[in-house]
Amino acid sequence: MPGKWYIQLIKYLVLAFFTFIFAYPIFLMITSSLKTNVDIFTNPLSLPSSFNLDNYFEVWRVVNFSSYMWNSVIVSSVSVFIVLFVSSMAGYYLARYDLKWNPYLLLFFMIGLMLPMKLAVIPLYMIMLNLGLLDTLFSLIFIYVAGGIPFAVFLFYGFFRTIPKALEDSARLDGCNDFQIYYKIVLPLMKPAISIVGIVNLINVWNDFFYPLIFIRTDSLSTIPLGMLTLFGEYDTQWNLLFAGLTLSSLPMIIAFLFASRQFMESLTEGAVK
Amino acid sequence: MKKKLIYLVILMAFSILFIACSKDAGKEGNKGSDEDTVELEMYSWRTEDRSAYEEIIEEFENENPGIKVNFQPYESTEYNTILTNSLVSGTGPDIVQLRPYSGSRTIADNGYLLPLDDVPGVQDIDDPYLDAAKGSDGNIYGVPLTLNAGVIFYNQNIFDDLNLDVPETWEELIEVSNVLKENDITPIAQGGRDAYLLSMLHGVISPSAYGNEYVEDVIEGKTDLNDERMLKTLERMEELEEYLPDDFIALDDNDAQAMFYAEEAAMYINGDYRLETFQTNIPDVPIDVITGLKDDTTGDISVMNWVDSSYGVVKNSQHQEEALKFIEFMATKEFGQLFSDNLNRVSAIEGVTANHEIVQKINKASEESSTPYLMLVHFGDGSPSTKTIFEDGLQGMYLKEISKENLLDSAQENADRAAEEEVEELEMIEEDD
Amino acid sequence: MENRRGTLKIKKHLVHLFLLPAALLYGVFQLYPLITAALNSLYSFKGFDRQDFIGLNNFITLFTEKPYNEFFFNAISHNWIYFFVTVITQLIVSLILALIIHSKVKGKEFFKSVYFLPKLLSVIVIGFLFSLILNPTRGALNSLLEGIGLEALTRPWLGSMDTALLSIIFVDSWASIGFSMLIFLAGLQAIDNEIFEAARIDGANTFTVITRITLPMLAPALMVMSVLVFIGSFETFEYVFAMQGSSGGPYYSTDVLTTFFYRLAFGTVDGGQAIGLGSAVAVVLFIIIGIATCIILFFFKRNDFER
Repeated sequence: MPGKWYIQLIKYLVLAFFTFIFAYPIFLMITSSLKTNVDIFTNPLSLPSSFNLDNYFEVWRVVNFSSYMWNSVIVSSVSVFIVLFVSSMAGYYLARYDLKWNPYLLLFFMIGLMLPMKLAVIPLYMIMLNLGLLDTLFSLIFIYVAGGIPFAVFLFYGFFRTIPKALEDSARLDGCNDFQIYYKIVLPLMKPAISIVGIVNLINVWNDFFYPLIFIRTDSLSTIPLGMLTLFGEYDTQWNLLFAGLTLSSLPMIIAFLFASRQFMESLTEGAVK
Repeated sequence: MKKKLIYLVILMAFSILFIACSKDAGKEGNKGSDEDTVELEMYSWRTEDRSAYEEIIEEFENENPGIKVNFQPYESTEYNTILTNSLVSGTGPDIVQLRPYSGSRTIADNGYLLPLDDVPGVQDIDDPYLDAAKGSDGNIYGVPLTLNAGVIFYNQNIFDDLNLDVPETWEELIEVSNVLKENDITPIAQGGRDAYLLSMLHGVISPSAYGNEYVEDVIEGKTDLNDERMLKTLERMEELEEYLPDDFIALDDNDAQAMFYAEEAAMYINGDYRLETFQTNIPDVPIDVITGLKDDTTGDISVMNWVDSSYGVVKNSQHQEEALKFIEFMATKEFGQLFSDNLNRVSAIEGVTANHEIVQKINKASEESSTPYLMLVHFGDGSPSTKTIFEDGLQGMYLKEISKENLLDSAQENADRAAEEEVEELEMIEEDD
Repeated sequence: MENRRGTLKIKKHLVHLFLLPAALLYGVFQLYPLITAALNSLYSFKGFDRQDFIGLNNFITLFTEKPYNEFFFNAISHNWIYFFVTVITQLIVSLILALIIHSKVKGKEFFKSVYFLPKLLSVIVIGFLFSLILNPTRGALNSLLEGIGLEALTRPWLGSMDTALLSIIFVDSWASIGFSMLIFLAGLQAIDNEIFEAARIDGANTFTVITRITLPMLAPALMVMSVLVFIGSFETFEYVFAMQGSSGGPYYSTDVLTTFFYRLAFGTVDGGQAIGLGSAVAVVLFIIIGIATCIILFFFKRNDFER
């Protein structure tokens, strides 16, 4: 359909308008992070007069950014890995073994898929207290894993059902036990599911600040979003530092996205269709 | 695939190991290299005073080798959550900053604090200070540091340029404000986005309207918030609106300070603790304070003040002895002087003289006549507290969402409910004993 | 023979090990706290300590006693507003964008990536970023409006009763449009192209194709997205918290159920906690979201049958 020229024009105008809407705030954040505080106040919209990374050095100096970064990396990678591991097994179990209690198990996981865990934060707090996990990265890892499991189990369950059983039967005849079948035969076919679960959980865990706010007290154990809260508390008049901090905390994700944007979006849409 | 899986498992094992290690490392770092050193955790919400506190702490550490105090300030708005959480878990701090009045009473009543009545020096502190740090059982649970005064800061340059006299009464304040406005200067820089700033504003300007008699009547239970005199203060708050910045409900305290810094505004109303902020940020601008407005009827000037906060010792602390030692230090004249000098504040310790001229001025005025920060001192109870209802209501009043009468009504209703709650809780505590 | 059967039996039991870690982690750190939170609504509290069983008293207080009932109904009305506005600002906008990108335009990948970009930022970063942009005196938005001659439109976005909640919803949509657009795109790609060809041969114009073919075929995706937006609107917390704090200011105009819950559960600067009441709010939210969940389940089920 060639489409009339003015329809095409309107389309591009709409697309351009929304490109501006989505990109400009982020652009503003990055340019402001290169300006001085005075410059931000007098000319909030102007481009930085020179390329100056002082704000970044300053932020790096005044807050414990490297350890925030490190904690975020540890918490995200460990919890995403555990979610992938335990949920794929559970999804495999639900899809492969026709047991009577499977529907109830699905319901069991379904509850967690929908109810907001945030509201259970006080009992969660008491659990962490009793286990002696308060103010440790473990508390965050356990919460993120538990929070990620329902979605991941459902997704893996859906994917495993699409794999023909014949494949496994032949493997079983070759003498593989159930676990070997799971990780030698089935799991390698699960790449799309693994990347969806991985990416969704990574975004959620990396960006969350609610649980660190409640469970982490020691500054050196803060994750990046919680560290931002500290930065905003102590330097709330120095917008140059704030913008630099915001940029700094968004950068890892943005860079990862630039490298793998297609992978990101394709797996997310695939997840949506399943 | 098998290989990959093994790698992943190894990676995971390593990362867990790593967390464990880094955690230990962190803890070790806290404890210092010396095996005998005791490390005390001290929680506070004064993020802006960190360097001053650290200097004072250094003095203490020099006198008491073997004790290190780690000053850990949190955002004021998150502080209560953090403090409650850590007290319940019993794994947190040794020394904690306590909100005055109902704030510290609640924590003391829940049994999280050590009574400090026997710590040398504590009993020498004046009663009005100690009242802010007492539990329902009458014991003292915190060492109060300082008295805050709500004052009107003004920029002397602007007043001199326009040949303005410093206002002493409400009418004069309005007159001066009108002149300032005509000269395109915002009379009073004030933010209203954080509702507590409105309580503060109310606290500073209203004693001139309701007088000390009203306060006494409230304390004796002869009257409550539904009172003509209280209504009059709200009328003044409304009258003041045109002298505050445009859309001041959308401004936070930083925005207001920025206006004052830029000399776009002539006055700024807040606690005297802002003096230190001004000294750091605009040392060249000559600033003075108006300690209060004259009472309409008696003509007295009462300084609106309240006890800032106190520091208490956590009952579950592993290092009670050392923590008490620090508390003892906080009750000494030496500490009081350091505190007053470093932070430009009035110390709670008797015999400490402030160096700063303005601090001396506030101190002197307070001694002559003072009036409590009514909302904080007498309406701080309940969840939500009556103060919260009142100040949120002020926001609503400025946004034309609630009438003055309804505002007082709902605040009083909440005060009644809070009083009931209080009785119930006391009964519970007695049952526990 | 006996022996072999024995090992088989053991093996059969071992299979449950597949399920165990997930069930255990999820049970202990999610389901159990959720149930405890629900039960907490039936007790009175002193600080963090459970006291007496008081039946439904917390709910009665919540619904009938001032100021709690006022807070509650005010907050829940904002959740509804949040939902209805989000349907327009997020769903409809993202649907339009998906339709445009799905049609013949150049640079699809570029636009998709840009629109998705905000989803990568932390909510707290987005909240802080926009509270700086929307600042009435120093923010970029008002400067921008002044710069292009729309001075009449400048306002204290987060400081006025009329615009505060809407501003937050816009920011939320800003961050979420990219994601829902991708979902709609996925739905569009799943529609068989032959149907469009056939329609076009019959002489249908673009508008008819969209209303008669595309939208009906997207109906399941639309329904599921609406329910997701509904759940999101009732769970919303982070944006309000990051931009207005837990008090939902100014004058409760951005207060939602979760911020109300937060104040009750953790107290405020000078107000104590009321965990029992907070848990009651949580239970009400559980029920509302539970009903929405049933609806989404129903639609998933129907989809399954169609396959």
